Amino acid sequence: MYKRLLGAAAVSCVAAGAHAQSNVSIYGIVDAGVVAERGGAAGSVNKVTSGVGSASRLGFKGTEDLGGGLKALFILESGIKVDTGESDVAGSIANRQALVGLSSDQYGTLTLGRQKTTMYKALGEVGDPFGLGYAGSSKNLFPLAGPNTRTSNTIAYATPSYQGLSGEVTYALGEQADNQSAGRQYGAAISYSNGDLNARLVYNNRNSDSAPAVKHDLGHNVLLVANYDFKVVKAFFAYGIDKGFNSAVLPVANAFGYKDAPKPTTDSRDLLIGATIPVGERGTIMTSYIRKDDKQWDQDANQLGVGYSYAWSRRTSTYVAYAKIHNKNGAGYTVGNDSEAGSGDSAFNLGIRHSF
Amino acid sequence: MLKLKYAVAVFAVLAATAHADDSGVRTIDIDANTKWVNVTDGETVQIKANGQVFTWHVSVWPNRSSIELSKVAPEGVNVGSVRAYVAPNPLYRN
Repeated sequence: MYKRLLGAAAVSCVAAGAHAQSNVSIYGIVDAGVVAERGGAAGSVNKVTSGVGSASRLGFKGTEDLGGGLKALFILESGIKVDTGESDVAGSIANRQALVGLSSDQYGTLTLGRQKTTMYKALGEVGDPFGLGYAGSSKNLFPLAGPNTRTSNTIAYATPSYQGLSGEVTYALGEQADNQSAGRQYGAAISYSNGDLNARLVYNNRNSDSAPAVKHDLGHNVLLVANYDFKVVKAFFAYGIDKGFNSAVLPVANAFGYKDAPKPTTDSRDLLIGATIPVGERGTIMTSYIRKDDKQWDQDANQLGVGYSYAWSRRTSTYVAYAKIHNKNGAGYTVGNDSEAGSGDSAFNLGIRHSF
Repeated sequence: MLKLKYAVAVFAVLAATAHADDSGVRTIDIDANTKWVNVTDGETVQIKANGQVFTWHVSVWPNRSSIELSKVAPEGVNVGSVRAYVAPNPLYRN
């Protein structure tokens, strides 16, 4: 929940003819946990980490009603390390989101700025029972490192929802001299959300060229995610196809100190099967099995994760989670969480998350 | 200035003549054929049902992704067995 700093028409009797006012909200998440990582070249690592379940953040969001169903909107959201008090990216003030745009119930939403990719949103919002957080995060094996998470210089358009069907496209300019295609990235998503079913099909295209001389083939990702709420259990599914340079960047270069470091693959598949199970009014069990199938180097990996979150209120939860990765043929994947990539092939989390 | 200190679903019955466009709040019409509606945690919506209108500031427990609309409708407003499916609040997504 968040506080509305200026006038809001949220919860009150509204007389006919009343006008909504512009408003600014301050919101955030403060999340910290104890993390114990095992199995890496660094040995046993015990630490206090920020943003284990959900990256800690401080954000400002505002809208202004322009009339005729049109609104202006902005978001400025900064990542914060609760364990040290630092910004999670040095020199950045709104690294998580920085955007401004126009929104219409009839015509959709157009925004400019630093924004999440369609692929990242699909896994976080639909495909991953851990919501990308905790030890069981799908980020450990799915290709969400670097610009596959967020892109700067991005134009995004999202359609309104028609009978639960909606779409989104993003285009991030590379902004390199004398080469309009170098460094650009674009994506698209088709979503269906109605009743107990949520599904999304996503495409991501990444150009990793660096003008004027560095050339690579394009990185492509196709991702299908879905979840279905059976009430006693909510089932999750995700399947991705990653081809080309930087289609599956390794989260950690060589965490296990191999003589021959793991190789980034340019042809791989990702599969997730998972579930969330409500326990009473306030508890949730989260679990998933993820398989990385490396078609190029056979450096495959499997991850099994399980977690439990207990909500003390709508804003405050405590959690515990554990995940283990089995790496094959020199693969070097690590168990991280929402904010860190991890150092070993297993990790245990115990923490608290508060939103405001 | 309005501070919402606690995430509680609060609502108020509105006059049936309220204009959704003027209030700037998304309006959801419910009729006899409606089985479910889609809302997002943290948003405020107007529900129109049987000539009556109420405003709902959507706020659910973290492990809830749907709720019977009748549990948040004011007394006297008949919304039948319509279920509201609640997407996570975008401010708190990863």
